Amino acid sequence: MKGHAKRSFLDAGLLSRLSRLMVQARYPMLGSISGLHRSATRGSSVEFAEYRKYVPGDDIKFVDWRVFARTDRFYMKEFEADTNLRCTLVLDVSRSMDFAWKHGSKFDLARRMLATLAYLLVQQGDAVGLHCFSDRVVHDIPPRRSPVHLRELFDTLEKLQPRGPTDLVERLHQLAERMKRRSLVVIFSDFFAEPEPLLDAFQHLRFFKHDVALFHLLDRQELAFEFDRPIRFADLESPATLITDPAHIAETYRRELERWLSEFTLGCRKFHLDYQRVLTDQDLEKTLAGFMLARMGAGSATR
Amino acid sequence: MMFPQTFLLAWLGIAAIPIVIHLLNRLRHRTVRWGAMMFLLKASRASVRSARLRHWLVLACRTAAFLAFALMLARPLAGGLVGRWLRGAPEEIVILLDRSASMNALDLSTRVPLREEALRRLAEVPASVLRGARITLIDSATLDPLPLADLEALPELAAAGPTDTSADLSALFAAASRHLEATGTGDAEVWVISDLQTSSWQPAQRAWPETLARLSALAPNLPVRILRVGPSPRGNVTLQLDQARLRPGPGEAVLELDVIIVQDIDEQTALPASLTLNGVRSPIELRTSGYETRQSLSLPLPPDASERGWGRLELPPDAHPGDNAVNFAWSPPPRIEVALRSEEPEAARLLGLAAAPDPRLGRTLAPLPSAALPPLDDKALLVWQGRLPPPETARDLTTWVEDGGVAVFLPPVDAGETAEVAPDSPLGLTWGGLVSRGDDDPLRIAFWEEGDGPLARTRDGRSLDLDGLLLARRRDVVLPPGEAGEGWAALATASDGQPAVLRRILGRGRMYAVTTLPVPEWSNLGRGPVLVPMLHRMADEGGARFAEAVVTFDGRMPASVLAEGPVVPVSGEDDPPDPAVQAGVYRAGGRMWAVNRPPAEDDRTQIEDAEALALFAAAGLPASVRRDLSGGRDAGSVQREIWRLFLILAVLFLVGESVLLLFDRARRPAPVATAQGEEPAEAAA
Repeated sequence: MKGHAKRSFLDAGLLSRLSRLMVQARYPMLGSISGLHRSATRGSSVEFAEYRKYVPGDDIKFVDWRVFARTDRFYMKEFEADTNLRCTLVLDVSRSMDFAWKHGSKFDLARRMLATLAYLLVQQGDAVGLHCFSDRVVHDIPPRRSPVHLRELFDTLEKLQPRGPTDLVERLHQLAERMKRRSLVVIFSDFFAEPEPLLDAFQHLRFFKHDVALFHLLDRQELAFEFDRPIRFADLESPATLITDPAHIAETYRRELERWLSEFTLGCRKFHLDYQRVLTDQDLEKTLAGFMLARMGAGSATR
Repeated sequence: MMFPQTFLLAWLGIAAIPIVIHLLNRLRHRTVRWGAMMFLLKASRASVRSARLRHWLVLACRTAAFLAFALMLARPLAGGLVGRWLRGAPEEIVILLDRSASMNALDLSTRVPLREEALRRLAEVPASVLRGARITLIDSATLDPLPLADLEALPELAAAGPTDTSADLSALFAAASRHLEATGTGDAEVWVISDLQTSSWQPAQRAWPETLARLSALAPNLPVRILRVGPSPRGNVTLQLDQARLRPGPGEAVLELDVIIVQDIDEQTALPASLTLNGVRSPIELRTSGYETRQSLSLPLPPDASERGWGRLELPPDAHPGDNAVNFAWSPPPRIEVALRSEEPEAARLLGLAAAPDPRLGRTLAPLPSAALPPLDDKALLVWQGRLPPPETARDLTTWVEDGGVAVFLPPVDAGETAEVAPDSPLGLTWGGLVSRGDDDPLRIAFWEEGDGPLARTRDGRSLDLDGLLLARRRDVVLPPGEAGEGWAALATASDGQPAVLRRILGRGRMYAVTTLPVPEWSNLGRGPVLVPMLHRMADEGGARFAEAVVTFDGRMPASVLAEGPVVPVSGEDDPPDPAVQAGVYRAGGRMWAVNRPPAEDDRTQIEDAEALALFAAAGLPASVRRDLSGGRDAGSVQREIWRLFLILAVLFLVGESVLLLFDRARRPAPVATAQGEEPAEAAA
């Protein structure tokens, strides 16, 4: 935390409390160094993985001589490998993330969550990158695990402002094409797009065996839609406006939103996405702790 | 539906409140920068019609509720079953019965007298209409309120019987007003039974507005229901008496009887009539030459009836049995002596000429000395021009008037511009200041009493020429406050609203006051068309007490005579008439009275329904004219307050609005789940 105390989006107490937990990947990762996460390759850890037949060139120190004595065949003992994690934190910086009602904007919340996770990941030796986009890529910082890199990442976050429309689907496809090496992809967005192409983009990420986690940021007013008199709604991402009496459309609005949410969450479940719906008035610590604990449980179950 | 006071309709403006609030809300929208626009646009596109319809229904309900509330405040009136059902039964129903002579005409369809037909219809009014209301009858002949147990006995009631009197509907309404004031009834209805004869209603009569305003103040929105009876069949012949004069001759005495025969067809006919002279009946033939025929009959009198007697000329029954007979009586003409006292020579000359133009006409003039007042016992009329008599003389004069004398006072010429001081005069009258208008802007007579008194129409229905009367000078009359000034009533009113001729009835006599002089500097009264008949009629009133035979046209014996002693019918031995309300020949106090129906009753002109309704509309009283009380065709409808309907409607609309809102709220989906495992904020609350 030293050197990051002045960051407005970092809470030292929160980081301290969450540092007892780990951000774990739900699937095996391919790291460059030894780490806390299960590797997709066999390694030298003490945890036995499996036997396989000897292949010329194998290091004979892993030959199980007891099996050879019983079967007169060479079998190699393999152990699980622990590796580090490459995590790409994806942040939607379109104007719709700037919506705020009573408890701050979705963007501010996303930035706090992202910074906290980045700090915790670097602290546990994982590489963290940042990918910010709206209708174009705003920032793309590749994953690294050095504290200097973390400072650069925080500096970038510090300067970020939501602007422009969003092209979520296209940017996610683009990101999937660029990230061929499996990693943890954590996306912070309101995901205001049609569910079907959006889920296609997530499937694209999953195709490359990324562990995809979604933080769906919403404001409670966006869900409740409670207004008592005619309102001129101005779109945050376009010049479009709509003057209407909310009493007329509230029912339909809520129905449309409910339909969209159920379709979206169902798709997330189908593609094994780690979906978290977060409201701007929710307790940040509780949200992140829940997220990390769930992953820790999932990680040990698959080990 | 109508509204008694249209200014209350201004309340309708409050019906615009929901619409104005709606529009203001639309205009006063605030701007919200919104992220989830995709759902909003979808919702806006898919905003179902039912939501919009529900919204408009809510707005319509609110507007309608306000509208109904505003209409309730405007106190609307409605007729027919709706009005009756919504208002409920009144506390009292006051029946005003027109018992005038014209109501004795036969009904076209039933061939029974109109009054009887009206009473029959009243008796058939179902109890559901009355619904336990108290019933009071006030008839035009007595003006006395008579409580009734029910309407069925009405046709047999003496107080609803036939009369030969005239009717004054405004007086009838005034009696109703007095009755309601005495009983303190606020929730009442007035039912009027009448043929709407013009002479009975006199819509232009000045008493109407005041009477109806008083009634309206007592019982606001008092429903007035007029049962119009008639029409009568055609083919009616009316017999009117013009005059009956005794012409003593050297041989046998002759009675000259001038009658007028009015019929509603223009043809010559011979009418078989019946003449009764002193009880002896004989047939006689009368001839008509058109709509109106004047016929003079010279009737030789038998020796025993050569000086005094009575008679009756009668036509056969027709469409109006009540206008077929005239009664007359004769006696030597009374001596008419007019006492004149005038300070102004020219006025004295003109007044003397007008009052007694020729002694051969039976009228003599007796100038009075300026000193003390001599006895006036043998005088019919006293004409007093100048300063009013001193109190002692005035007291003697008052006693003389109470005994039947008639006095007329004209103003002094030289009393100056200010009022004459006699505040405690027993005459109850003093002369006020002089009003001069000049010759180029004289005052005119705006209104005068034509039905009765010295300015009444002539017997053939023509008005006196008061329209041509120009007043250049006038002296106001000052009536002392309190009882001393009571009893004076204006018979003619000048165009500035001040009285020109006043009358005070005192005992059996009359006092008159004329506020101008018949000299050119003051007025053109001296020309004669008004002054001569006016003074002659005043003199006749004063001389009537000297005549042995009196012919009247009031349809009944004077109340003063009835009060003095017994009145014995002479004519109609089989069915003696009631001297209090019916025409006939009566003997009272040694004199013979031939009582005839009022000539105005023979004028069958009727006012239109609208004219009658306009009278009440002006006073804010809801009125209707009906031809039948138990159904049938209405000329109008019963107007009743129906504010209850609008109160109910307002409540219903508000309930409807609430139901729509509750329905809307019930259909509103619960807020969307927030985060996984987290309860919605509303649910948590």
